[in-house]
Amino acid sequence: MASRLSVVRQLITRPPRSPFATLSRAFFAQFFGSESATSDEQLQRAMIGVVAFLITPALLSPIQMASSFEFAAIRFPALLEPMTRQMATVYITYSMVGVGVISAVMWDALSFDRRDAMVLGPLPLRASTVIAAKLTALAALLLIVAFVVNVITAVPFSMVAGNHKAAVGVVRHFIAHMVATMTASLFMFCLLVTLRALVGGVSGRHVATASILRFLLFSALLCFIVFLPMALRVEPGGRRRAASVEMQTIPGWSPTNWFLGLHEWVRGSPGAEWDGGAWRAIVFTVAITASAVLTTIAGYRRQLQIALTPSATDAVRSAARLPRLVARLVTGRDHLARAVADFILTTLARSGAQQATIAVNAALGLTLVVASLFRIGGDLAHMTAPRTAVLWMPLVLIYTAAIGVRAAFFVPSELAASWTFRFNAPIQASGYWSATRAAAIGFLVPMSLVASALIAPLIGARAAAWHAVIVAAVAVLVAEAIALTVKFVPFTRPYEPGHAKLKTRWPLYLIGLFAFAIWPARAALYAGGDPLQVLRVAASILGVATILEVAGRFQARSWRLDPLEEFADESAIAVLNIGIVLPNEIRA
Amino acid sequence: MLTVRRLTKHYGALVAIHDVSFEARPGEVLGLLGPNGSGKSTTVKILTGLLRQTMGTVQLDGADAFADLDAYKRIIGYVPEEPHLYSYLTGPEYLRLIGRLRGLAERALDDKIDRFLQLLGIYDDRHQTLSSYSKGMRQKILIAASVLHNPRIVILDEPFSGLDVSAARVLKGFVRALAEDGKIVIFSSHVLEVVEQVCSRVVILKDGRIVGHDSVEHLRTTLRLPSLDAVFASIVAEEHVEERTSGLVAAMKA
Repeated sequence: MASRLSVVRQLITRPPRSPFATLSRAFFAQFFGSESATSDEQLQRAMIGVVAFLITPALLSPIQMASSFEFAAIRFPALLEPMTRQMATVYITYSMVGVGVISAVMWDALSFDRRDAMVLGPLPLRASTVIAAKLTALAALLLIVAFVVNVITAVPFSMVAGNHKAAVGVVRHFIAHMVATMTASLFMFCLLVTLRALVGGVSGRHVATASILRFLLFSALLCFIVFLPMALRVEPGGRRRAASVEMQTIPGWSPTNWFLGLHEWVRGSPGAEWDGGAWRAIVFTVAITASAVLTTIAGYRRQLQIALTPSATDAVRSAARLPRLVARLVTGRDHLARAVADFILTTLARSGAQQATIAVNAALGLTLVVASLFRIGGDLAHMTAPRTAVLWMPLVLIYTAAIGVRAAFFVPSELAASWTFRFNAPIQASGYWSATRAAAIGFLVPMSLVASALIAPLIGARAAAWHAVIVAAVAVLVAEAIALTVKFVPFTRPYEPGHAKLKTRWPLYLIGLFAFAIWPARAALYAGGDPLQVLRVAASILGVATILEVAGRFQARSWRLDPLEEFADESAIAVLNIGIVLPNEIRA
Repeated sequence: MLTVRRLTKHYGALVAIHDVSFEARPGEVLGLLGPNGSGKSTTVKILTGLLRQTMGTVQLDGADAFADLDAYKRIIGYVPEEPHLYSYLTGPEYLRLIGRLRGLAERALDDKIDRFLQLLGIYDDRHQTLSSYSKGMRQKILIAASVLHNPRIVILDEPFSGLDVSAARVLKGFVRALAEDGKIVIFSSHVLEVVEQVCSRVVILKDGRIVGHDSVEHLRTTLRLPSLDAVFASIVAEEHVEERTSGLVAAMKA
C-alpha cells in the first residue's frame, strides 16, 4: 500500500527542476526586484505606473491617426505611402525608446554582478549553465517586453494603414511592423546589455553610467511623447484654408531608417533604397546581439575574478568634491552640519536609487526645454538672441533637478545603517537643517553653472556668464525652499509611498515652474545682459532666499532627530486604510 | 556606575525582557549571556538609548541616564550585533562621519583614524568602499567607531563576530585594557570561552529574565562546575541537545 502511495505521490509531485531552469527563473525574477522598494506592492505599483505611462500614448496614437488616414485616402492618396512610412518610423523610434527605458530601469540585472559570482561561484554548477540561464532570462525578458511594447502599436496601426487594401495587405503590414519593431527592440536591448556588461567589468562607475543612461532614455521617451502629435499633422482645411499634410523630416543618418528599410522590404515596397536599410538593420542587429552574448560570457568570468579579488576593483568612486566644497562654505564651522552635508552629497554621488530619482526629474526638465524650442520653431537663428525660451533652459533644468533632489531625500539609502545617526548624533540641533540646505546648495549651484554654460554657444559666453549669476541665485533660492520642506536627515527614514502627492499638488509644481524658471528668465531678459541690472536681479532673488533662510533657521530650532528604533518594531506601526503609515503614538 | 533597575520591554503582547536589574561598575567587564531570543540585544539597545524601555530605569552615577540623552550618548561607545554600515563609504569616510557627528576636531580625527586603521590592519584598504570589506573588516571599523571618542562606557554586542584569531586576541586584550582604564564595559556574546576569559561578572538571561548574576569564578564554585560553558548549560538548561543534534544529522542526510 505504502509503495503504491509513494508512486501516486511521485506522479502528482512535480519533478525537480534542473539547475538551468531554476537559475533562469531566479535571473528572470531579478529583473523585477528592487533594493530601494520596501514592499512588493510598492514595486508592483511602480511597475504598473511605468507600463501604463509607456503604452498609453502608443495605444492612442494609431487610433487618433485613423481619421487622418481616411482623409488622406480621399484627398491625397499619393501621400498615403509616405504617411505610412512616417508613422512606421515613429513606432520604430517608440519601440527602441520604450525597450530602452524598461532596460534602463532594470539596468543592474542586465548582466552579472559580483554578488552573482560570489553566490554561484562556489556551487557545483558549470559556468556554461549559469551563462545559458542568464541569456535565457534576458531573451525571455526581451521577448515579453518587446512583444507588449510593439503589438499594441502593430495591431491598430496595421488596421489603420491597411484599411484601403485587401486583408492580405493588413496582415503583411502587421508582419512588417512586428519584424521591424522587434528587430529595433532587439538592437536597443542588446546595445544596453553590452554596455552594462562592459561597464560592470571595467569600471566602478556603473552607478553613474546607469543614471546618465536613465536620464537620456527618459528624456528621449518624454521628448517622443511631446513630438508624437507633431510627427504627422493632417489639416482637413476649410473655406479659407487649403487642406494640408505636414510631416516632420527624419534625418537620413538616424538608425531608425535602417529598420524602416526592413519594414518596407518585408512589406514589399518597390525601390532599391529599402534594401540597403534592411541589410544594415540585419547586419548591425546580428553584430550587436553577438556582442551582447560575448560580453555576457566575458562578464561572468570577470565578475568571478572581481569576487575573488575585490580590493583590486571596487575602488572609491565619485567624491563630489566641488559640491562638498560649496556645502562647506555654506555650513561654516558647524561640525555636525558639515558631517551631515558631506554624507548627503556623498550619497547623492554614489547611490543609484537617489541618482535615478534625480535623473527622471531632470529628464522632465529637458523635455520642457525641447518642447519650448519646438514651439518657437526650432530655428537656430531664433535661438541665438536672448529670449525667454532660451534663458529659461538652465533655470528649468535646475528647477526640475531640485524637485528630483528633494524626492531623492525621501528615498532611503541603506536604512539599516541609519542607526549611525540615531546613536552618534545629537537629538536636537539646527545643524541638520543647515546640512540639508548646504547639501542642496552644494548640489544645485555647480549644476547651475554647467547648465548656464550649455546656452553659451547660443547667446555667447559673456551673456551666458552673466546669466549664470541669476541661475546660481535661483539655485540658492530653490535650495532654501527645499530645506524648508525636509525635516529629517535625508535617506534615513523608510519611504512613505505617495509622499509627493502629485495628484493634488501639481498646481504647486506648476507655480514653482513660474517662480523658479519663467519669471527669473523674464527678469534676466529685462536685465538684458547689463551687469548692474543682472546683479540687481540676482540680489533680489537672494533677498527672497534670505527670507526663506530666516524662516528655515526659525523652524530648525524645533528640528529633532528621532533617536529611537521603534519603527523597526512592527507592532508600533499601524497601516491605516487610507494608505498612511503612522506610529501608534501619533495615531493615539 | 551604571545601574539597571527592573528593566522591562514589551513589544505588544510579547515580553522581550522582564524585571532585569544589574549594575556595571567602572574597571570591570560585565558579560551579558543568554541563548537566542533571551533579550540580550533588547537590553543592549535600551542601554544605548536606541530603544525605549516599557518600565524600569537606567541610572548613571545615581541619576537617570536618559534625562539628558545627548549627554549620555556622548560618553558611550557601541558595537552593534549586525555590522550595518553605509557600504558606499570607505572605512575612513565612515569613521570621519562618526567623529564629526560626535564633534571631534577634524585634524586630530584624521590622525586618529589613520592610527586605528593601521593598528587594526586595514590601512591598505582605506580607499575601498565598505561594500568590498569582509565581515571581519567591517567589524574592525565598528570597533574603531565605538571608541573613537574615548567613551566612558563601552557596550559590545558580539564584537568578535567575523574576526580572525589574531584580531580576536588583540580585541580581547583591548577589552581588558578598557576596563583597566576605568571604563564601564558591557560585553554581550554567545562565545562562552571568550566571556570566561574577558568578563569579571556575568548576567545570564533566559526568556527575558535574569537566571544568573555573579562573578564567573563564584558561579563555577557554587555550582561545582568546571567551566562557564557547563554553568551556562546547567542554568539555561538546554534540553534534548543530543536528540536535536542527531535530528540535524538526519535532516542533512534526508
